[in-house]
Amino acid sequence: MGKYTTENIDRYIHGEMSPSEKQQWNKEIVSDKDLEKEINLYKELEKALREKDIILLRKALIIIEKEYHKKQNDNTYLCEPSQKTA
Amino acid sequence: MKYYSNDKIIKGILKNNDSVLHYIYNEYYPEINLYILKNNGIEEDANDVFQEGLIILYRKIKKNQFFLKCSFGTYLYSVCRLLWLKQLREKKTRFMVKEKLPIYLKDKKNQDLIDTIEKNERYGLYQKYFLKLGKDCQKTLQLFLDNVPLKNIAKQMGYKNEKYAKKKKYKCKETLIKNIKQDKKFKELGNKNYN
Repeated sequence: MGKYTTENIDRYIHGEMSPSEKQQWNKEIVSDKDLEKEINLYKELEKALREKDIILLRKALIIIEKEYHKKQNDNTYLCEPSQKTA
Repeated sequence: MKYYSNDKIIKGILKNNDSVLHYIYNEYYPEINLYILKNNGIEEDANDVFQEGLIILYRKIKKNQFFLKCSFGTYLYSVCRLLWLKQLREKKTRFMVKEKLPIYLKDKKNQDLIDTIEKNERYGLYQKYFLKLGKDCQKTLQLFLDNVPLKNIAKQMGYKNEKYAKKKKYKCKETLIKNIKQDKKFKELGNKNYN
């Protein structure tokens, strides 16, 4: 990616570039679809990470899912029929 | 076993209430698990679909677009079923999909649900990989998102200086983006437009 590093893309989306650098990038974006896609990905990632409530819900669900399966497994173990012997 | 009304369940999800979330798993997971196992899925798919189904409901409740004409369980089941059929279709699975994609997927009335599902597919992928980062990275990125001054970030995280704090942020972001891109789901989403 050369100069399209994480650092530069991040600086671009946060408006931390000098006016001339920014102008240069604006020009390049028009002709470089991949760069445009990359910038959009960074922007969208940022939006997703700002959804704090959903991230918290995800954390809670991960824990609850584990607990649920652990309980199920424990129950299965208790109810497992003993193996038939030939 | 306690019983929760639709209303209690909805409030519980909004508040991240542990006992309500447990209740939802106990009550509704088995049926959805069974459905997915019967339709070319494995347990892991069932876990994933169930979680995403709940998060989609949460998104809709938050936007106040949640008018339940049926029981909570019925609605959750239909969202999960839709999610799974959509996934099967996108995987272009070599298995036969026994069920046709429901017409309501093309129904204009359900456009908002479809939009929510599609947004959630992308956001969910990003958030999952964020949660897989080390605690340090998660915290650092969070502080930057909260616009905490650089000086304070360095201090709070115990980084030697502000320059290092920035370097750390880029490094964490780079890892995060790399991991997201390596997920095969990302490639499937690749051709869609961002918004």
